[in-house]
Amino acid sequence: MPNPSPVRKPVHANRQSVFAAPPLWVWGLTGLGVLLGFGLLFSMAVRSEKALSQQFTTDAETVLRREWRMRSDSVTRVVVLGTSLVENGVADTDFFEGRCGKRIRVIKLYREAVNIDAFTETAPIFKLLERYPPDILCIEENLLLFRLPYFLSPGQAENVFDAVNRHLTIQVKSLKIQLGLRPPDPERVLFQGFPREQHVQNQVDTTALSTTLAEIRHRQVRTPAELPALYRSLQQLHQSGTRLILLHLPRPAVLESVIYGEGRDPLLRDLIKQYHRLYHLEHWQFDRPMPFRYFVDQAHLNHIGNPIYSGWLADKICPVATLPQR
Amino acid sequence: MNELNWIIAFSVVGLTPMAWLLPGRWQLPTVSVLTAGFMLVASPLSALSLLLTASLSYGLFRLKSLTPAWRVVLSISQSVLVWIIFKSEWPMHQGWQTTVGVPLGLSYYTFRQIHYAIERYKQTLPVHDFADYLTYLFFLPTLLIGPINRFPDFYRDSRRRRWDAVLFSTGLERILYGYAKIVLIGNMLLTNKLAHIIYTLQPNHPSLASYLSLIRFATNAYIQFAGFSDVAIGLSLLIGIRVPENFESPFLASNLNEFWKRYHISLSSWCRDYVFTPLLSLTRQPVLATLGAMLVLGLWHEWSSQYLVWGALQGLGVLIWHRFKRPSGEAKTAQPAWHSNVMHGLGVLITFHYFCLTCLVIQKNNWQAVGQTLTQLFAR
Repeated sequence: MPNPSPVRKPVHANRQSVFAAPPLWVWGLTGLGVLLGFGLLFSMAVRSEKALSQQFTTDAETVLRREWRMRSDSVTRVVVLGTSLVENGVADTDFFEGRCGKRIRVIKLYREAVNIDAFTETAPIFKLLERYPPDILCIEENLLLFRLPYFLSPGQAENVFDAVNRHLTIQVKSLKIQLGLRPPDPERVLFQGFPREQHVQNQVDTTALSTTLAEIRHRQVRTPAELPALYRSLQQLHQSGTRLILLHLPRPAVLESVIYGEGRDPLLRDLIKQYHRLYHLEHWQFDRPMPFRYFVDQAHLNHIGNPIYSGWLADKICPVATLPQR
Repeated sequence: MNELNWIIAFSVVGLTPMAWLLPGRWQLPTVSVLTAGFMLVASPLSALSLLLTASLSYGLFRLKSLTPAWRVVLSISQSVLVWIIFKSEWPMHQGWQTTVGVPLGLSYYTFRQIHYAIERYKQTLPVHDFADYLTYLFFLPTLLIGPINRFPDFYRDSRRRRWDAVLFSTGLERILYGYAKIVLIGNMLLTNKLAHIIYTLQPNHPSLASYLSLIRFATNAYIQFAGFSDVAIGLSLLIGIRVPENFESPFLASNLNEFWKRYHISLSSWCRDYVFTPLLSLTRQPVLATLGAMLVLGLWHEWSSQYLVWGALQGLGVLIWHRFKRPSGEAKTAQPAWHSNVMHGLGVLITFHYFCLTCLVIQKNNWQAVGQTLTQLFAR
């Protein structure tokens, strides 16, 4: 750089590339093709999401109806509703029965990477719960406390790219499995089971921690009046005798301090109080700080964290499951 | 959508049609107004900061009561003051970045304004008015992502621009290349895939992981920046303005002097013209001039001790090369072709690794981490 002579004239942007730039009509056709292809992918994504929601509703209805029909069998039925945090964090029925020594059935209803709309709009799970009310309904607190930014419904215009991206990811993954380029996912029983692949992972990859922190910092706290349809369902469930719980699912301690820090804590506490006063939602807060080694990634509990959390949850459920001992 | 996508979308859908469909004299002013509108929506602080510093840097030269020397000093001072306030370590430690924010494109337009002030003082600028100056500064394609283009070139192109389908197509091609660099090579390969390879290597091969991490940081910075420059050049071409190239395969340079003629060319040539040459003229000390230019080049990125050291290391590398290079007048001894090829390849390898190694001081958050990585790289 610091060579006083000779002074080079700036190189302008008309240098020849390896390939000559194509005529404009080629760009026009390409643009049209991209738009059409994107539109096609988007419509496929919409259909795929609708089919998934429909399947989820049907499966949930089957399970809830079956449990409702057996409600005279002196079993306490607990529905835990949430995202993949519930899938990974809450153990199966056997664990709770063993811990409490009571007849308890834990039904996990979860969908990955969704917000509350996935249980009220795209799949009317709360309507099903009104029809077949459980004894205890635990709702993952993230759904009611935050406006989660990672909802992937293709029905919302701002999520068009996310929806297509998600659809493509699923299709590519499926293709790779078919071609034998990656092992098939371990089979899971619907609403039950513990992801088996977690057992092989011993250490959490924290390379994307800054991304997660940025997402958490951008989270907005809900107000206690923005989900009227859901609140009506909650009141209906309360009248039906369902105990309503706002359930905290822990994340690594580093992230918890950000989620409940930075001036957001008073807002959250106020919201939780309002929920309790208006809709009879009790708040169950897991207070123990959890290190990264209890997680399979930056959010989901692993085979070490799951029993610790589920043990705490069982200790909360056992006293309120007032039905006869086994 | 992230900032890059917004800039591309707004430039293609908003700026480009306005730049060609409106009557001739309204075309570029409209581009500037739309740019100001974009900035007001994206970051009001950025728009106000740019408007204020631009008005002052132009207005000071209209004051008859000041001598030309005072005009240039005051004009440069106000630009540099704003730049230092926002780009130094202190506001970062005070949390300004999250509460107030840093004006978008601040480093680029500060250096454009300094260039303008000096050239105006030297009376080398073409006859122009305030609107021309604002058009130069409020030009979205280069405002946020560089390069640091010069006013006379911009002014000339703004007067000569004509619709040219080949230039337009070249612009689209450059945007595509730039986008591919950023998304495919930068984000997918270097940021995601290589990060996971490094992560899996870390427990059993920490030295190799540290080495790859170092290479990844430097190459990713280059690829992302070169991609952004391609996009900026392409978007400018869509509007009919040609801006200078910013990169010319820098990692193929066989010495650090050549490297800095190929890497971030608009900044390094700015430092040559406005720091190195004046310092050399004043002091007749090439070492001082080189170090001064490289320190400014480092501090342009951020007014911090880390970038100061990084700039000093670049200067040191250039000085070492100057010390040991063959004098230009010395007759070359007859060497076989393979020998010069090997020496060239060795030079490329050393230059690349020297640059990557110096990037360690800006990659890590503190000096302790720099020391740990160096230990991991060389002491095991």
